[in-house]
Amino acid sequence: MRVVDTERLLSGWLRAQPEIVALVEDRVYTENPNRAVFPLLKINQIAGNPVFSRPLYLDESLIQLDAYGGPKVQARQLIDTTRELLAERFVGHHVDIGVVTAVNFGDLTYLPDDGYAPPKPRWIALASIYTHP
Amino acid sequence: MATKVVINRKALQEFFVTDPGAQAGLAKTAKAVEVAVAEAGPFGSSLSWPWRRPIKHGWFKKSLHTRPFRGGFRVYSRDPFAHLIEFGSIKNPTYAPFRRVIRAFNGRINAKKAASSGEGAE
Repeated sequence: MRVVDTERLLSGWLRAQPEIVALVEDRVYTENPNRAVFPLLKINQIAGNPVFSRPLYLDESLIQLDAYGGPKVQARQLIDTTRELLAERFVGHHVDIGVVTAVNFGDLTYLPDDGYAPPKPRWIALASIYTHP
Repeated sequence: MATKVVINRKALQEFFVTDPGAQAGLAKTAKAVEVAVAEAGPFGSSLSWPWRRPIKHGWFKKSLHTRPFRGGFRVYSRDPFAHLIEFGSIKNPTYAPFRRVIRAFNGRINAKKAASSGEGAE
């Protein structure tokens, strides 16, 4: 038995959603792209705890979703669509990967990426995702 | 026979604010949080592009401070670019030292939400 790689599951699942493809094509990343093309969606697992250690089965992953525009409105549309899809469709059985039992959302923050001049519009959302094999 | 324990949060808060022993305990915990945040920050070789270049150590660590705040203590960074370490950017990975340490100390990141649901946040 192994715990689910939530980053991998989520990125693959989002790339397969037509609403996300319409907005960013396949630009859903878990690592920083070398030459970024915008808009894009970045997914990072920043923390995680198994709900029980024995058996190591049900796992909670804290995921940060970074939605980059284009313009600010496009970043907002991307993060809204992503959260809506997670809330409506993500919970359930994913063949050969595992089961998502719950998605709880945390803060939604507008924090432009000032690694760029001018700063790139970015909405950040937090989500707690519970999974088991 | 089952016994129901009701926690008087107001009295508990009053105790933490006024009792010297509780304040000393909180100060010690705050210092431990500060040390843990420094350890959770970037270290070794850079994970941002270009990969594996050496990091100049000490800047983020030096920027961390602890001060009394609303009867407790606040751990914060004076680095104006600390948000790039915490939230990442398109060129930096998301190190999230503060949020990781909050989770490690069994804290809650969304404090307002936890407080409103009555689960306790501070």
